[in-house]
Amino acid sequence: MKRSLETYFLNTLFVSPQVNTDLLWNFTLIFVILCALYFGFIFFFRNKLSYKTKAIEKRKKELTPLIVKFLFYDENSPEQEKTDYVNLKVEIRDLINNAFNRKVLIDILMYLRKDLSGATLSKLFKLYQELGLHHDSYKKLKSWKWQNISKGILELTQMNVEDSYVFIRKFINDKRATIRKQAEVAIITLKSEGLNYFLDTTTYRISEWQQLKILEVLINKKNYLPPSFNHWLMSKNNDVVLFSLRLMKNYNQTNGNEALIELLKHKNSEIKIAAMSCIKEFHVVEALENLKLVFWDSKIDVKIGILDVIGSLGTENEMTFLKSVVAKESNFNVKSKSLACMNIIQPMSVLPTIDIQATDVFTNPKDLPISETEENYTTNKSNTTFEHQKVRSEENIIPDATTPEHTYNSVNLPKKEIAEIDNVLDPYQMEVKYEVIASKKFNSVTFKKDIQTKEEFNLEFLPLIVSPIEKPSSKYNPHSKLKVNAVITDLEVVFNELNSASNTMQKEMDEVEFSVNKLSKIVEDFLPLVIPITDNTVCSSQANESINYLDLSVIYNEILISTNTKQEAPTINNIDMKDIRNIECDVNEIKITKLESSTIEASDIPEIYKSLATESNNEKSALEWVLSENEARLEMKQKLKSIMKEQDEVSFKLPKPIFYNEREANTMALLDDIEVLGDSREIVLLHELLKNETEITISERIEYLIFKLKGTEVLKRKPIKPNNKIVSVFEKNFSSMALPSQLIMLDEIALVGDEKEIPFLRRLIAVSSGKVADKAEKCLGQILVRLNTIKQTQENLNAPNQDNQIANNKYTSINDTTVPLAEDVIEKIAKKPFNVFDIDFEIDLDEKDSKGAEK
Amino acid sequence: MTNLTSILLAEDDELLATLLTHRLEKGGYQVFVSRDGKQVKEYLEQTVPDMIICDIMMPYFSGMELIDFVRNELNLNVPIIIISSAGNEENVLNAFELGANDFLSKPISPSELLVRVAKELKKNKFEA
Repeated sequence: MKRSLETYFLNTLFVSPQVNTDLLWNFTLIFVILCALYFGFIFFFRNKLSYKTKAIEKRKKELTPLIVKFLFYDENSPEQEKTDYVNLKVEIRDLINNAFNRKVLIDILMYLRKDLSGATLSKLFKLYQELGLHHDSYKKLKSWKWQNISKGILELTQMNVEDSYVFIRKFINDKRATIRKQAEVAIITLKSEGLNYFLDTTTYRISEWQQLKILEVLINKKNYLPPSFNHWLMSKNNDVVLFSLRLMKNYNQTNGNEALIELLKHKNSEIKIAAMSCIKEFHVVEALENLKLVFWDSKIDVKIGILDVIGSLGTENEMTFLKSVVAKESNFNVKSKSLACMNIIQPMSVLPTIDIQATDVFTNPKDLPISETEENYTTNKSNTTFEHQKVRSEENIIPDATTPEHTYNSVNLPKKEIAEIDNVLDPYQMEVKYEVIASKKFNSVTFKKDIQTKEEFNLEFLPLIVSPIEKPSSKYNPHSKLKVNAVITDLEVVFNELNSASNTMQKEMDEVEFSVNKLSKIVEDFLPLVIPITDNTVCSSQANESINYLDLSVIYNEILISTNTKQEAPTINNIDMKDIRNIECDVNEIKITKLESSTIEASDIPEIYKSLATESNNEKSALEWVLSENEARLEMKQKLKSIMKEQDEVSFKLPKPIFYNEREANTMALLDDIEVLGDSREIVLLHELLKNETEITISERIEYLIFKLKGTEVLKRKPIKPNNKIVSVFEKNFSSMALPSQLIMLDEIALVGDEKEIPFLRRLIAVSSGKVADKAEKCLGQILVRLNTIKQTQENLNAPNQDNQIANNKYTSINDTTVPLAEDVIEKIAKKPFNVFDIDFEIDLDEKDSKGAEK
Repeated sequence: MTNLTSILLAEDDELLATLLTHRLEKGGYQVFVSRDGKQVKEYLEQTVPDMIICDIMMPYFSGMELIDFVRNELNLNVPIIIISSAGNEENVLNAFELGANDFLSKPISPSELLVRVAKELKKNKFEA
């Protein structure tokens, strides 16, 4: 002991502790044995598994062709295939007695189920049940292992065994989640009422994922009629209520609005939000009061949801509530949502307030010109009401540049300031008369507009008047000055606006004739179409003499304008524009008729116009513009006509397209397939299609196909026999024989020949001559007589009626073509003088027959 | 036998290949099955089939590579029908760009395949 202690304390690091070696050996042995066992087990099970897998694979390879043959078996298959099918059935019946084979078969079918669709898939389902493999799946449902039950449910669902519905539905409330979820999906897949049962009975939670899976099943279900989901809104299971709400929304079921409103008071926030989602979707405006009611006690996400619904469904009545939310609510998100809702209900009711500077801060320079936008703004605002009123109101007053607060809404200017502005500006009063020419009715609208500008004249009315071509290089530059300096007051313009909708105008586009009755006081580029009227009377030509731009009065009486005239229209020149006030323009009676060449005469053009024309040769006048315009239009019209003509000619030659609707297109596709792949079996289907078809084109196609397929059938089953099919056995060697042999052969033919020899003898009679022909003729007669007798005897036996017998004597049993020939031959023989040697004595005929032969 | 229209079926799934082969043979075609891309390549270097039906996902040599090989290296105008899994539209589009003529997505209806094969062959014959 002492020694051992020493060892322990002094030499622990150098000397190993003294342990019983036997014990060590024992441990080692145990360890080795355990290892061996472990590896042995692993080796065994791995081998077993791999062997099993290999066996399954091998069996699969063997069974797959059988399954495939089963799947593609057709009842219209040939006899051999049918026999094979029966043998195959027997073989498979033997195979399925083995559990292993059944397992492999289930595996194969389950595997093929993934990759197949259509009719083949239906056959697969049928095969599964025909082989009784569903019983194995039922057995799995009884297993205590959850994985087996799950597998059984899966197999039955995948193979669409509807009878298994009753067995699976008991797993709906199974405590094992995997089985429960699988059962839920299974019963919904198998039967439509599965969903009802599930929603009625389930007591467990339905996860979001599960809800999505069920929804996917429902969406993929063909011809599924969803039940009214509002029945489950009263369920004790909150998940059922939630799921029902989602399904209601998905299927747009609006029959549960009252329930939806009540659900807003639910304790569960998720249900509240789902109900609000439905309310928003279905526009249940009755829910607004309840929404406001539950708002204050709800959570933030619910509040935001409520505001969202109010924003969507609310009216101005909800503005007060929203304002109170903004005032009382502390949460920023809710407040922000409320503001957003206010702007949704009443756009721009809430404007930005943060970091917005006061208006005093902004100053404008004194000489700031009136911006275009401001001008447009004022004009647009006045134009919003078609009825133009006097614009002496504050609205249209262009504020003084010195006014610091110059905004569009500067309507509160004091009257004193307005008066000052009036003094500064020259007020222009313009009265414009519009006369709208409709097809029959003329509506006259008169309005006055006061325009106040500080420095420049507003010519906004110009677009209403047909203006001539712009003349940038015109000598008549005073216009531009006029724009700046001229003062036009009380300008009264009366003109006719041609209604573009007039049909008569459009029809007579190629007939153009301008007739200008009155033209006076031509000012500006638009003047050729704007005529001032003085004292509502037409100015006399004498007035032309006093060329004063204020009292300018020009009269044009029906100027006919030719398209090919090269005479430049006159322009106005050298007119001192001082004041163009009190100008009243009237454009009236613009007629457009067909142009005639060279109709302009110099005498028709007033003197003033002539003089102006000479002075401004290089300028194009308004008339020229109109002419060129019309000319271009005419040319275009003619070109269009010619193109249309060409198109008509071409289109006449082209075949018209045939447009099929969906059904017709499908039918045609089917007919295409039948044409490519079909055979005579499709004829029945084609006849059915033909009965129901109304479209001529398709009917013709079907008839063609029937004809085509019938043709193939006839060719296959009844090949057309050529006329020379009936071949005499004697004919082959007859030609190579010598004459005596031929005669002997003819004798033999007469003895033993039948109807097959008749054509041969006929040919022989026709071709040969002499003895052979005579012999052949006799031979033919004998054969016919004999055949006739045989026939007659047979008929006597069959039909004792004498009348029938006589009637039947006229016909032979050979065929219709030989009958007239036989009669001819008999007659021919009868006409000949009787020669005893002509009759072959070897023929043993009864008395009756011989009489006939003699005849 | 030699007059039958030959189809090369490149499908690694043995069960499906057996099934399709049977259906096509019943439809009157001569079918050669290749389990992977290597076999397909070897076969094509020796023989030119009247049509190729191939799965996009194949070992060694994918369906896309096969189309590229047929169209660009062998310069063959053989009609090619692609079999793809559902939700593999991108690959299908690429296949069309490379020169595939038609496609079928799994699950397949064998009858539909037969009709498509017939149509493609007819179309090819007409174009030729």
